[in-house]
Amino acid sequence: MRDETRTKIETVFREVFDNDNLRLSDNPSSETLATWDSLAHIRLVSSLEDELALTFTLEEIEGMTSATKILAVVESKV
Amino acid sequence: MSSDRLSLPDLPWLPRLSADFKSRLAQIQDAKDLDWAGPLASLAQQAFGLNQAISLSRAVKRLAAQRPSKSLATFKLGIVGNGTLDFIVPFLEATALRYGMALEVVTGPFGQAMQAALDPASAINAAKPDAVLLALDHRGLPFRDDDSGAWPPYRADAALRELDAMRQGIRQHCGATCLVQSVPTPLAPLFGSLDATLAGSARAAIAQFNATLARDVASRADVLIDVDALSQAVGLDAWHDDRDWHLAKLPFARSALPLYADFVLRAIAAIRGKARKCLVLDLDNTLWGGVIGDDGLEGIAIDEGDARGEAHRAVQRVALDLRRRGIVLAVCSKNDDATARMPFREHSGMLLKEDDIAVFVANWDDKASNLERIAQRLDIGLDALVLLDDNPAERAQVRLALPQVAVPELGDDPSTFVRSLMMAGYFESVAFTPEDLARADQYRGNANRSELLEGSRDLGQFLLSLDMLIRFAPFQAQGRKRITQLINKTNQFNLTTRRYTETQVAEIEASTAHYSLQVNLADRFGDNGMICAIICQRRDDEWEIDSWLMSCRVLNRKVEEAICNRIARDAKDAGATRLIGLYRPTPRNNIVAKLFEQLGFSRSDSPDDAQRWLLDLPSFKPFVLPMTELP
Repeated sequence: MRDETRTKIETVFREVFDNDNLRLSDNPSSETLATWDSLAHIRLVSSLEDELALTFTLEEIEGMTSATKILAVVESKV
Repeated sequence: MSSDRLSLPDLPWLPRLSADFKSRLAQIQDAKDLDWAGPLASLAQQAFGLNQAISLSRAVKRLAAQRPSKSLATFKLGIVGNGTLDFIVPFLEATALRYGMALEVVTGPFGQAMQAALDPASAINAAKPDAVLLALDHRGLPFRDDDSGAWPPYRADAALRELDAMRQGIRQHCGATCLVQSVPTPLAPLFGSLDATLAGSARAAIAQFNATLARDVASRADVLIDVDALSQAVGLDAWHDDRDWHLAKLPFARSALPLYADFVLRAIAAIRGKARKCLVLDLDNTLWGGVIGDDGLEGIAIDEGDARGEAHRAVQRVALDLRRRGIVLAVCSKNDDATARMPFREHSGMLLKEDDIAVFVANWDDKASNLERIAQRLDIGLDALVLLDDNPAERAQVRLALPQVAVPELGDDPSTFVRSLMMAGYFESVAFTPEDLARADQYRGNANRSELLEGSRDLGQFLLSLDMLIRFAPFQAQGRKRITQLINKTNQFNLTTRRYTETQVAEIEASTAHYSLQVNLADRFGDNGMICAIICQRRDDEWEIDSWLMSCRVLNRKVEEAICNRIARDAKDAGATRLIGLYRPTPRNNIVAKLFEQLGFSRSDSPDDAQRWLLDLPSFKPFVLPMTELP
């Protein structure tokens, strides 16, 4: 994956979770982030879609529960 | 910036989100000694997305808790819905800032619309909101009949009955006005074109539902939010997003959230009297193509048969339509006065005539100063103005200098102007009264009256020459809409600025503990319509003037004295010995700071921000008036 895409994803994470220190390399997930609730999940997915100009399927969205998993899904689509 | 590539859900009339949104928001929150309301409201003038909406709604709540601001009008809104409200609520809260309001939202538990309405102790009923938004669609009302599995699958009557029960429950348990949504048609047909002809199809049943709702909503003092029309404007294919529904129970596509929130807030702002009253038009390249000073009469594009000319004619046509419904028109142009007026006088292609324009300002001063002049001449606030101007630099200057003035973004092509202006909802209204219809003429009448005043040296003589006829009546159903409008729109001549909904006005009408008065004034230039509303609390020995508000159009005509005479006489007849006048100063109502003093009341011991003034009735001598009183 290009660095540019990675940076975009990290920026979306920081914006959605309102935390400028979040790093993808720490693999934040719905388990480790208290603010990653079902609504934040939708915001995260839709912001990623807008930012990367992608569309995820319902099945993909259900599985996108950590940074690593999200990177994998995005990787498979770009 | 050119906005002609944007589609409706992008709110093309708003400036695009600025790159420094985040840092400006942080600055506002950090500036401890600043009134944050104005800066936050201007930040909300941009087109923002969900993440910004959430940031704004958090910021306004935090700031309001720490440092309450008086410059935002508060409104408590209950929301009942069948989808998830978690995205809608922050969008409504953030969008409210765009309309100078602080919205306090109360929601009910997911999927329990009926309970929220019918249980007197539900969170919504208990909160006593100003209004309740019934955000229900075809999945939230019993349109479908699946029990029998037989034809027809859809019907309107059960859905109408259930909605009716909710409206009655809310009315009964908390007295709030209901904002009732019409229902968008689902996208997928069952037969195809035939659906429209079959009463039991979704399309036909929902059409019947919406038509019935539109007929009955006004008669019950509720307000229609025409989401059906909104979904058509967006296009049903874009409006409905099945994935957003399955994933998040969002009743419509995420991308329509900004537009939906703006649409709902327009109605709420209109209830609070915040709709705009005056359209100010630029001339060159706005009302006509080209520059009259350079191109001359023959060179400007305004004729039928020429594409550019027709696009500008369409702008004139819509301005005339607005005038016809009571919106005042003004002109503000950088031009020599005579040059600017030339097309109005001499060009046969012009639809607008000089007579249609209440204030015509053409000079070389900056537009912001000229807009202030126009507001002053019309005696309305800057927040009542909309400026239509093709020049991006002028728009930016006005937005910066006068953030209260609405300035729609326009594309480079004049054929986009009408859409930007009309889809922005600046002139949203929740009622249409005969007074609205006559307003544009009344403003011109005012200009004529000022001319007459300049011509006659003696004020008393001038007032007598007006042949004024003043009519008093208690509040009644017939004038209720206009009374509610006055109560909510009047900021300047308003002693207490207490706002009441139409429902509350109806209660006051019927209450024996209240005395109410509506006042009409006519003169030889025409009927001014209802110009004043009074509410008094009656107690045995004293009456307290709870609300006194008047249209500024009739200032300096001894109308205040006539009203004082009338209240004093009625109070005295009822056995009271004194009148109590209340004055609560606001940034807008300085005009009435001396009213009670002028009428002979004396100040009683009371704080400056909630003044009490007394009038002893037995010793009160009625004023001599230059008008005839009826009845």
